Amino acid sequence: MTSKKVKGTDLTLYYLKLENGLNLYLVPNNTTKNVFATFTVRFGSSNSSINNINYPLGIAHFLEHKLFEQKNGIDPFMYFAKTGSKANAFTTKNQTTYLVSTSKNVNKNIKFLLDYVQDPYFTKENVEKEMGIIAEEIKRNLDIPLIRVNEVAMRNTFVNHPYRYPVIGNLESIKDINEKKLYDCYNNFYKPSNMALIVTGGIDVSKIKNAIVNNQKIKNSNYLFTNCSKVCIEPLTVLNSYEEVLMPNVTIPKVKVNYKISIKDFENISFVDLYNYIYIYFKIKIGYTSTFYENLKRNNLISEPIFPVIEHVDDFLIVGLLSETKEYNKIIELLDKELVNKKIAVVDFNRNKKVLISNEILMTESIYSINYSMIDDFIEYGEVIINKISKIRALSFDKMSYIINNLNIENKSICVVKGDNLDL
Amino acid sequence: MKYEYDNLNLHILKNKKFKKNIVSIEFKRKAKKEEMTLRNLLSIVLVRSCRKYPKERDLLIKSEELYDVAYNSRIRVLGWDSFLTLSLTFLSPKYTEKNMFFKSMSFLTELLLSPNVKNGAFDEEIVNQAKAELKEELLLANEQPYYLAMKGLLENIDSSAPFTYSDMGYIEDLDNITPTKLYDYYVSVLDSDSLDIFICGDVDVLSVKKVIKEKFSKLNKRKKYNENVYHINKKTIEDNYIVKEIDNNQSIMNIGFKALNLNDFELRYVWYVYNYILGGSANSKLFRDVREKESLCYDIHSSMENFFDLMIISTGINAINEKKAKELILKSMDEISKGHFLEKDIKDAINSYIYDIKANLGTPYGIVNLYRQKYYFNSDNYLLKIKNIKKVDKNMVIDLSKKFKLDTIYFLKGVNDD
Repeated sequence: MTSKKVKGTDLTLYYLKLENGLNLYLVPNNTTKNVFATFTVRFGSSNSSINNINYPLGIAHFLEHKLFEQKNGIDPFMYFAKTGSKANAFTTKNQTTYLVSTSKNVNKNIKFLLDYVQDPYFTKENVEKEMGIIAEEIKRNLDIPLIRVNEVAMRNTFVNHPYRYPVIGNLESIKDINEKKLYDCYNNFYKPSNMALIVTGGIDVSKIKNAIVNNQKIKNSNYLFTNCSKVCIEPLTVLNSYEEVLMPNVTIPKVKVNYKISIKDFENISFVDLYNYIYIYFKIKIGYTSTFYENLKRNNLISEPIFPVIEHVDDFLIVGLLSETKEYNKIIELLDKELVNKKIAVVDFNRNKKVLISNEILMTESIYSINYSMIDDFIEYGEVIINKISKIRALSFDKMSYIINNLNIENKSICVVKGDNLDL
Repeated sequence: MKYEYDNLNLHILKNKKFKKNIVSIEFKRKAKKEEMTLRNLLSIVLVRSCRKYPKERDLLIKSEELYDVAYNSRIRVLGWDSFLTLSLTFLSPKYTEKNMFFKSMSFLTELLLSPNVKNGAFDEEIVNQAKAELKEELLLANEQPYYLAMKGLLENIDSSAPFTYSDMGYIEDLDNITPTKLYDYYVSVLDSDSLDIFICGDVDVLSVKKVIKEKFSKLNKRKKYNENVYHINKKTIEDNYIVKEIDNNQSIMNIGFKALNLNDFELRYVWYVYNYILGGSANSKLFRDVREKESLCYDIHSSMENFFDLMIISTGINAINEKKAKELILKSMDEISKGHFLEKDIKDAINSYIYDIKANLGTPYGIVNLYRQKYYFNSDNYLLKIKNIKKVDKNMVIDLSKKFKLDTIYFLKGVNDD
């Protein structure tokens, strides 16, 4: 087991790659007795093919639901409830995560977490039963305008990449899911080398490590995970640059703009840095401290600030901007104008570095934030980054200017969701 | 540690283990429907501009310069109490630089005590922007099916009760509020609302007391305010069944139950256990009976409105299952009244309750919450809470379950069903 200090903080990261390939990360925090454990697999809705066979949309999420079924009938929620612990799971485009918050019988609870996730039990009957449940989840989402605007914008941003589809699938696609397909996906993706167990909080590092090593000893997997997802050819251009959607009960239109940026233009810059540079740029230009926002607000075009959200998909960064406003046409026009003018001030750049660093430190207080941040690193980089703060300090204005000047934001997809009520 | 002054109460919850300091300035008065919009508008205006930084952009930039100090305001109605809260979160100075405590505190008190005011009125442009913001917030809330369903239920249970007061206010009030009227209201809040300041983190008690005394010395002394916050529900049962159609895919069924004659121990302890067993987790009876066994829904849960002796069961379903869902829910409740649940279920509920307390003890917000419950609402201290929850037994749960009477069903029926 290796141990490294997370630079600029008081945290120490312990890492061990177990014999079966499982990645174990531990970050003790002795100011609390609470423990947060997450078990993550790099399998999400955008990994929807194995060896050129496509699997139904929404299968990763469906599988997440079904892993809670146990052959021995011990419901994980019931098991964790015995110690008052809280359990849950979620699926995203890139991952599925199973989690438990606990402060009692920690080792036992972590072992159970490992056991129930590593023991799939899919049957015709229990798959059938889940259809109705997930159908209601899908229908709930269909009635939420913010979800719709994000989904349609993403669908139009990509031509081929499965990232364009919603995590949960749709009412038609889930009907194609059966237990065999669930086993195929499980056996292909849920290999220990493709997974990470991350535990943060009031833990005894060596005791936990021993408990986990012993638990995994009998679960040896000879097969290392190999990525057999279809290689996706994705053009620089978006599928559809503008789409309007009408929904009932919407009084204030929602507009989502996705900028499709090619990372290939910046191959000589580390990804961690590139992400930060681009985030800072958008924040300075159109975020809550921008003159752009101040002017829009003064002219009654907008009431709330826009927060840039960045997603990494293969060779692309998608920068997503969302706003709710009646004046969406004006916003779109003014966004273009603002981003084409590539000037930013050094003082704004430096201040934003300070903000990023403050937030990195603030985040170390929460055993949940630390854990989620490590999951993100594992998904993105296959390892946890421990020098984030020094990397932020090292960001340079010159490099920033270079990136801005080479930033191509011509490829964008816009979705507007508005009410179907004509007199509003 | 509580320090009582003439014009405010200061509560310092010193804790060396936290990296952040949190400050919460809380004004409290009796909730009045006709004041909700004013109060909300004031809470917005106070954090958009002040005398030192009249432009919002300058204020936001200053907050970033102070190591990204986070600030916001909020209105909440709990029972008959209306709270206007200004809060601040910042990194402990040992991670940033010396004097940051004083600078961060000054930032917050600038907002509250030195507002952007001229000739007895707030700045008109700021007030207009705040009105636009509030109007939009209200329109957006009414787009959410779950918000509409809850509003519909509560209004039909008791349209005059404070739980129907909109935390955000009302669009129709906006035009009547002038910058002068808003300033007058601000003055009355500062003058007569009860005022409590909570500070939690690795702070120096003497420095905190000094800063507060200095900043708030000019505020007038005020009467102590205390209103009975519990058991304020109308005792009659409405027995309503309302169906409202909406052009949505999913339908939402909300059922409200009134509890008659709860005693204090039931209110504070037994009810938690009952709620947990019935519909308070993925381990609950409703979850198992309605979702897992019958696949009728994704969301189903029961919730406690402690101040109003009201329990609400909420679920998202397909319209064709309206009757079936209602029957299953009532059947599940009936089974609990007949004692069809296990000792183990009670133990799970107790463990969950204890876990929640431990989780709260691990964060500064949690610690302030636990303290606040005791201070405002006379809840027991956490050690006594843990002792008392363990006393809850099966008979208590059964007796309690019989006290809940079905008052109103509100069915927001989705008619855009594929």
